[in-house]
Amino acid sequence: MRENTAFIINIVQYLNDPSDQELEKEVSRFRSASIENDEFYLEIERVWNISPEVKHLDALNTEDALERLSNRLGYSSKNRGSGRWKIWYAAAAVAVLFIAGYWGYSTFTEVHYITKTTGTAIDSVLLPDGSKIYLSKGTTVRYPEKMKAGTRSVFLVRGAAFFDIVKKANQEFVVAVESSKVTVLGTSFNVKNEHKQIELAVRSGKIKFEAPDGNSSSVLTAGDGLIYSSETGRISRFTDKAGTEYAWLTHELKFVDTPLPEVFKILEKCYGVKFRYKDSLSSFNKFNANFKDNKLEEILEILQETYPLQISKQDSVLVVQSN
Amino acid sequence: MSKQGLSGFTDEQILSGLRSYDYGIFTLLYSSYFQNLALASVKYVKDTFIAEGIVQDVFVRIWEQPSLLEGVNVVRPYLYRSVINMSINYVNRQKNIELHHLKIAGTMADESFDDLHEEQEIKKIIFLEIEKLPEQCKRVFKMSRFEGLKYREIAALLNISERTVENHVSNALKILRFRLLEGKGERSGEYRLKLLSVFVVLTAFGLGEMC
Repeated sequence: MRENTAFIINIVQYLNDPSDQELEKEVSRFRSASIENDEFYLEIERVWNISPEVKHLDALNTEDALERLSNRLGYSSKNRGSGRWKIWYAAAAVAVLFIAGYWGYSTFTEVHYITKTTGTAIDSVLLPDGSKIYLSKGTTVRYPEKMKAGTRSVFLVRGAAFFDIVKKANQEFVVAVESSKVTVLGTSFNVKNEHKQIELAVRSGKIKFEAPDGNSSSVLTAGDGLIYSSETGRISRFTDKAGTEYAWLTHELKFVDTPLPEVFKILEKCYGVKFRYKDSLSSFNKFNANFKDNKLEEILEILQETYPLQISKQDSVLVVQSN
Repeated sequence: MSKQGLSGFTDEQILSGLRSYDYGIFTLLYSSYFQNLALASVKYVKDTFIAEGIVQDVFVRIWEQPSLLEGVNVVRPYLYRSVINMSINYVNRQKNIELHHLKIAGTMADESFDDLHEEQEIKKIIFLEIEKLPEQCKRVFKMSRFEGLKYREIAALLNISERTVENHVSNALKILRFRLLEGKGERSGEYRLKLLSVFVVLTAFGLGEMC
């Protein structure tokens, strides 16, 4: 087994493309050289074959699952003492009927949920009620195959999604993010669930955000944004009139009387660049423009024509200076 | 007790604990088996969320109706059988696949669930070992095996050469195989045979790819 290092590359290439006959020949020559070689190959192949199934463990956390089971049975994890089961069991029997526990699970037997995950490309989902969800890269949503009368609900498991919700009389639409809830009637808005914080931005209509504690709820209208930290429980508001939060989908930026420093901040966020300012920008007029499907260079070009500015690239930053 | 695992308990003790509503034993059993059972269920339902729901349902039923355990002498086959049957029922409700799957789980010998259990144990170990790989190596390996990307695609996404990708994957497989089979510690050697044998048994039963 001394030649492993050289041959393992061959094996690895072969596993990536089993249809390659050249590689297959080389691998079988290595295997037939000795029993040890053959065993080595089989072991590597097994690790290769079993590892895709392992990925589910990412989503199977025993502690969290135990917490949810305990909730369902009416045992709060704090009260998990021994010897007190009799009282608890009596309570649990009743509680099971009423407490939905983790409310997504309780419904899984009646409503079939579909999970949709995007990789490196944007995708969309059309819901049974005609509403549409646009998924950013690396995003997972769960949505019902059929929507029962009463409420319409979907889960944003991770990533960012833009919701375009069809208005239905007396029928709320609920987006559940972790333990928080966003309730709407008919509207379009963006939800991002990343780095232990939830970010909302409303494009049209009105939405209500409810943090897990149940006490604090916030109402947002078009142009409003909100950040909720699931670690600290803090809520902060911001405005997003330019549509920065969902520019990943619309490729559209709207600047209405936007102060110039703000314009650059938005460009930094959308295009993942960094600006450095040689001169103060606060004395310049506010900026009004709509962009759609524009490259950063084009927007910078227009800014340089509108204002007496020069923008040049230096290493990884863009330097802004007045002429 | 909860961190110690189930190893100190006999089947008899576990079953009598469940019959007498011992919540400590109950949660210990759940914690020890949750990932294994959910992984077994995912094979059918293809969704971790649903799988967790099914495992949860099986345990809630046991907790609420210990009389279900009448006639049960060994815990493991009972748990796997319940979870697999419920998973198959779930899938059947979704699509109308033939019922012969159900019979397979029903007629499987108790011992074969030990192999099934062993398979999930190996997965848990591999998962832990993957997490311990060097950062870039782990990233590449996960893209290859978790996301099913080809080396060429990974190379393009990470802006590295295909050769570098191959090196990372080789390295990962070498390390994983070594840790599983030759590494020091309690699990060395004992898994060598199992890693080789488990799959043979499962494919023979047709359990490996049942749906």
